[in-house]
Amino acid sequence: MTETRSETGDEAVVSDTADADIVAQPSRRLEIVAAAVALVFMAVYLVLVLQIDLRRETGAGQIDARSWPTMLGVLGVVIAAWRLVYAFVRPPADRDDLERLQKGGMRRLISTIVLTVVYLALWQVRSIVAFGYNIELFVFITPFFLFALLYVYGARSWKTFVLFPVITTAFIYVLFGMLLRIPL
Amino acid sequence: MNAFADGIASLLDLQVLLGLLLGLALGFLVGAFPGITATMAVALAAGFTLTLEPVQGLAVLLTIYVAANFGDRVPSILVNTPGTPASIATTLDGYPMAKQGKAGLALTVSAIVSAIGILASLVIFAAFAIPIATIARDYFKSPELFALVIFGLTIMISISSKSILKGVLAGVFGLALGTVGVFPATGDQRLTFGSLDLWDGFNFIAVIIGLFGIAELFDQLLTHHASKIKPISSLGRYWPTRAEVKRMGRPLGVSGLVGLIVGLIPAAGGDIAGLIGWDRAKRISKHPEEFGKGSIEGITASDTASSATLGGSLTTTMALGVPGDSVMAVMIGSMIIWGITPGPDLFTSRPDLVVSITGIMLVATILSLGLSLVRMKGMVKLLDVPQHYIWSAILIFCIIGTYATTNSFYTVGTMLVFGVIGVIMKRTGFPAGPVVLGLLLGPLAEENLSRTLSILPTKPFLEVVSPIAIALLALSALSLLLPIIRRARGPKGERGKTLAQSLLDAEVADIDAAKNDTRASASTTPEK
Repeated sequence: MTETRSETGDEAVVSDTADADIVAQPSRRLEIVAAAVALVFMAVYLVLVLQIDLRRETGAGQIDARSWPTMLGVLGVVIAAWRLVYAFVRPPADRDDLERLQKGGMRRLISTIVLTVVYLALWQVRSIVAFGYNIELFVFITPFFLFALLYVYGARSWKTFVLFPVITTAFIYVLFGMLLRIPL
Repeated sequence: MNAFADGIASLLDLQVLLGLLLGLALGFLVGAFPGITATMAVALAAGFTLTLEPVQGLAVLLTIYVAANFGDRVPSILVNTPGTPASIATTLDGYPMAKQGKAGLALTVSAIVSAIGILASLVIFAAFAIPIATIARDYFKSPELFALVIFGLTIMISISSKSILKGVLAGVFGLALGTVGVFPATGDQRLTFGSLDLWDGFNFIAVIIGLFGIAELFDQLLTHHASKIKPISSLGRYWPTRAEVKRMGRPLGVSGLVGLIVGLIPAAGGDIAGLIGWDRAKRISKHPEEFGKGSIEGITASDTASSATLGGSLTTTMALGVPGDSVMAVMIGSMIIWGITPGPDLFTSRPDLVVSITGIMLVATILSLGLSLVRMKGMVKLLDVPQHYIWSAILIFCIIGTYATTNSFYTVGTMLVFGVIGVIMKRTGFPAGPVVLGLLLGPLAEENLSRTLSILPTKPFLEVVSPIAIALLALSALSLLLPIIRRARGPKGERGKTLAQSLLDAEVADIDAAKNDTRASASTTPEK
């Protein structure tokens, strides 16, 4: 058994060494930031719902388009503020149901999001006219998207780079484009 | 024709059969790959099944639900990693059995008792779905329906959240998302910011694929590390001896009962039932010392209990409109898109659906059992599939599946945004279940609250708000306050536990001891 310090340094956590490598550690800073973001979100929501334009007044006892969202906004602000105070005054909750971030994990995640956004932006173009033909972009950009994902995820075999993207794209095209008639 | 004949007739369709086979393959695969949950798979398949007839679509989704319940036992037993949360308890005795050279036996026993558990729970569904729906239809008016939504939401919050405040915030976030769009009563626009895409609110399928599929994928990308545990490939004998079959009887009965009861509680799923069932069986066993060390009674108990929740879960979902677990929340979303709204009116107006659903679940269980008993060698190989294939496939199919629901890139963008929100929520301890439930049931809650408030000035309070509604609201308050009070009064270590954990201290202690035993033996016993 070893003793390790949490991210904030304010709480000693005794844990098994093997588990400490895998399990996420409690973090007061994370709890505070999460509660503050929740508070800001709910406050902005409350301000926005109070500005909802009503086309007509409702009858006595009836609720209008603002009433329910306003109730939710007030409740959300109160709970988020309570949570923020709680995050300051109480020790952070354990996170033993979560695994710790691994080296390279953030790179994989950000690369995936960027690649996906680029893929969607290109796919939105739908088709281009080249060499006198109307070329559907989906069948060309999807294999490259999959290739890039495989590379980011650590694949290095040329068979993987060629076969998986081509077969998967063909499968999607046949299933969705031809059988289900989804305009890809 | 009567309801029974109608229900059976709708199953006699080639597309239903194809749906069953597709669901069977998908369910087994998602179950077998750790990290891909049944919720994720059903959410993903919801995108594919929107164009199908309701019974055809249900054949796909329900079969995934059933088959995943079989497939997820394989990695639990062979690599000590639950395929889905429902098979957490399977690892307690399944993996030790596999280490003793009894992996084949563990897989066989697990498959057989899972089938028995599901079939027993189907009896509950077939027998009680219509009576419960009829009672709900006759006695549940607007105040009761509002109270029922709040009850379902608070139970989900108390079960899924370590922090009640975080759970409530997640629920409020979901309800707030449900307010986006046009207010049906007056036609007023709420938070649409002039965008036509937001007039109908957020696309439910995009949100659930984002929160359950993409967020799970993103979390795996962040946390993946090479596993030191190699799958156990020596399966040993498959069939239990007569003496072993005899030992399975008592745990089967006790844990089956536990599963049936837990299944009827909204939002409580197979993970909780499996752990409780395992512990109850240990308490009545003549050999409690064997539990957690490769006991055939232990694996019987955990898998019977977790599987026996399926019918109960289906009952509360279909008869009351309150999801029995997260898979059922997704199922409700798909059914609403097909034009079927689960709730008290469904089975009283379409009793044939009870027959169809029972038939699909029955066939799916039998097919899954058959496949479980013949596929074992091949499943071991599946566990070696590299993560880069799985991640790439999940992402592209999430994108295409979401796009297929509306043919709009805006929907795919919504999914991606909710994927990012979902992973942030997961890393910060905010549960996704209440968000989905809030989004799904929010409009229903608002509508029924509105009706209740408009009736209240005209009649005495107790004439409008019945004892049922008051009891449901009181139970809702209790489900939130009980964990807070217990934590406030308990020792420091009590903090950060879910309702189930805080109520089941003894069970959790036993299970922790079993886990430590397994871990200790894993670190001392060399791999074969």
